[in-house]
Amino acid sequence: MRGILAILTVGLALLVVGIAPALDRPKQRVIRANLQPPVAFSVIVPPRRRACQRELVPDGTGAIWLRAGTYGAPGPPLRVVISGSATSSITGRLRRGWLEGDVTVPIPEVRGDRREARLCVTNNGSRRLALAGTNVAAASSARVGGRRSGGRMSLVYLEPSQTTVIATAPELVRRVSVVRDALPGSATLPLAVLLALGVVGGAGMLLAREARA
Amino acid sequence: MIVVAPAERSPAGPRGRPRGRLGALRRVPVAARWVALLACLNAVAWGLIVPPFHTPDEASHFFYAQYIAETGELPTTSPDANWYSGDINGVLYAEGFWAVIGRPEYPVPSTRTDQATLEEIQRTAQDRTGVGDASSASNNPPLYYLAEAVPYALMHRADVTGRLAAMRLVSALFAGLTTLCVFLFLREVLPGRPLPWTVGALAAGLQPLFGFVSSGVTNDAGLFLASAALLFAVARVLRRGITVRRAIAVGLLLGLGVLVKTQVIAFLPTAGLALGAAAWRSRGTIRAWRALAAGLLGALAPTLVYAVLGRTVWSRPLVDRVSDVTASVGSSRPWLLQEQISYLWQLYLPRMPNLDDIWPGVPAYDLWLTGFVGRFGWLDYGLDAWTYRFAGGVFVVVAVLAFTALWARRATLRGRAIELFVYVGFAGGLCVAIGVLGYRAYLIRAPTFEQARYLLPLLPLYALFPALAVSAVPRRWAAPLAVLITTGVLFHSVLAQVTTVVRYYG
Repeated sequence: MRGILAILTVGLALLVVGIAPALDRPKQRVIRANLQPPVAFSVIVPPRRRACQRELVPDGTGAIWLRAGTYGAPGPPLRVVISGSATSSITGRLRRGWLEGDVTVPIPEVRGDRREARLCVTNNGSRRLALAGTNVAAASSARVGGRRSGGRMSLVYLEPSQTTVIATAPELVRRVSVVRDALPGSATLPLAVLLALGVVGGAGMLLAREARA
Repeated sequence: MIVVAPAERSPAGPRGRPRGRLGALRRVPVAARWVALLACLNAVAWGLIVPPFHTPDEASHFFYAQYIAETGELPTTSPDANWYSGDINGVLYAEGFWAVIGRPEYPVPSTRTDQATLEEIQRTAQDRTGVGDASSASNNPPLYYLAEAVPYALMHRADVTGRLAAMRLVSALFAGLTTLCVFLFLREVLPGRPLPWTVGALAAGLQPLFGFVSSGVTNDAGLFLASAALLFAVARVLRRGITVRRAIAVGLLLGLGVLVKTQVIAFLPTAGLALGAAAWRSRGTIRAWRALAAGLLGALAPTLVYAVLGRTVWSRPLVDRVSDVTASVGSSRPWLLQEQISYLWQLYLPRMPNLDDIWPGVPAYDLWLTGFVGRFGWLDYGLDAWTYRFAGGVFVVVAVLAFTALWARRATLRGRAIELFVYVGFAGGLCVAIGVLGYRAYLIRAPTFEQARYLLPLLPLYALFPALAVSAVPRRWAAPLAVLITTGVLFHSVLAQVTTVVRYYG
């Protein structure tokens, strides 16, 4: 019996050691995407112009991801401004020289969801800038220099810095319950964790029992 | 060590065993009940973390059950693809479903604003029937959905996500029952020590792809149960001999299985062969032939009931899923036998130099192994790359140990050749069915049909490998090996669940 318990303890330790890296891996986590996949460079911003569209900018955002093309040239100075009628503007900048492709623009952390915020990306360079997004109906597309562009920029709202799954746990608990929107409410993720632990413990006890038989 | 006994010709079981339903339950080993409970709880845990409608085609299956519960009718495809109902489409919209699937970098929207939007939509969306189009599920037979209509009716006043949460529990229950059947199948096939049964059943019941699929509303959950129960029933016939009751069990499971998902037709020839072989082994006695006829009746009875209901109540043909793939796109290339065989070969085995390259890469690894180890959601996320290579190595080691066990008992195995042939036939039948449908999709340039989850009906045969591996080693090494294998299974399961939480919630 003691031998089996020792083996089970080693097995459990291996399990914990194996799972720990997945829980402790730091990453700049996504809070929300604007659900416009970057399937085409659908918004072209001429030099000294800006592209603007209405957005829901979520609480806690500290950086914005976008995909930008510069036609091979070094990236121009870029400015992202989030504004709304009742709140102060938030501005993020990228200096000249960034590489085209996936770009993350840091911004001061957003407090509270900003519904219907006006988000503008300004091209402060001397060449065109192509922003990836989705082609949409003119009415909902981004405005470039006051005109409808026919596309919406693909934007992903990120946390300000890298965090681990463990550090994000309270927020994960909230998100899981929001998405599930059913019983047991905010206890959904804790219950799932308890069940998973119960399955691990139950399997161990069962093996101990069967190995003894 | 494993005891591979020759088939018994008479009904087994101790004298004076408990009778009745409770007695039957008591005859189920305690370990089997525990394994079933663990598999069920595991599927419940999966069901808590997978967002609404993110198991394969869940919206289609959910709507089917909802439609049947609301109207008593079966869904039909509409010409303008006007899928589902207002309330389901509302939730799909609020949770950005169509943008989130296929994009692992997009979590499901869950800000406080998203929460308010979802709650508002759930409060106001009233339409529960739409035009009756369940998309890809429309042509499915109704049995699984009739079972799901019960929790639907019980939760009728709840909103979409509330009803879905309740209906997912039925699939989790099916996962537990499937695992129970796997355990009983192993006990039947590998008489002797119980430890291998437990290890094999745990490996099957906690397999992440099985847990993930079984956590959602999908008739696959019913298919897994029907297949596992069928294999168990066939094993009983082959091990204990054919009787009327056992043959009826096989026939009924076949017939009911087809009414859960038509894929079960793939098992028809082999199940028939098993019954025929068992009757032949009984020297063709009248009792054996009577049992065979009873088995046939058992298979036909549910189908006949469905046929009658289809003509009188539901206006639906008996088999209407055959045209499923061909209906979607015009055939652009003719069907060629040689190419079909080549397609089948390349789907499972390394391509021979004389064959045209139909499949990119190596499907055995890229499609089946990686899919089985873990491609989740709408095939849009999985585990770290190293996991697949590592799991591949583990599978090889376990398979070598399993074949070692078989080789060590090859003399006894010769007496069970028919049994072995039947199990290989089960696997082969399903693989051919998948390959035939896949080739049809290939001809019309439809999206790739094959998915690893289509192999999950063979879960009892998968469970044989770890069970045999534990049987292969000397007794004092059996417990450590059992712990090692189960630790690997648990690690795999927990890792997949952590990955799922990260994928959907950031």
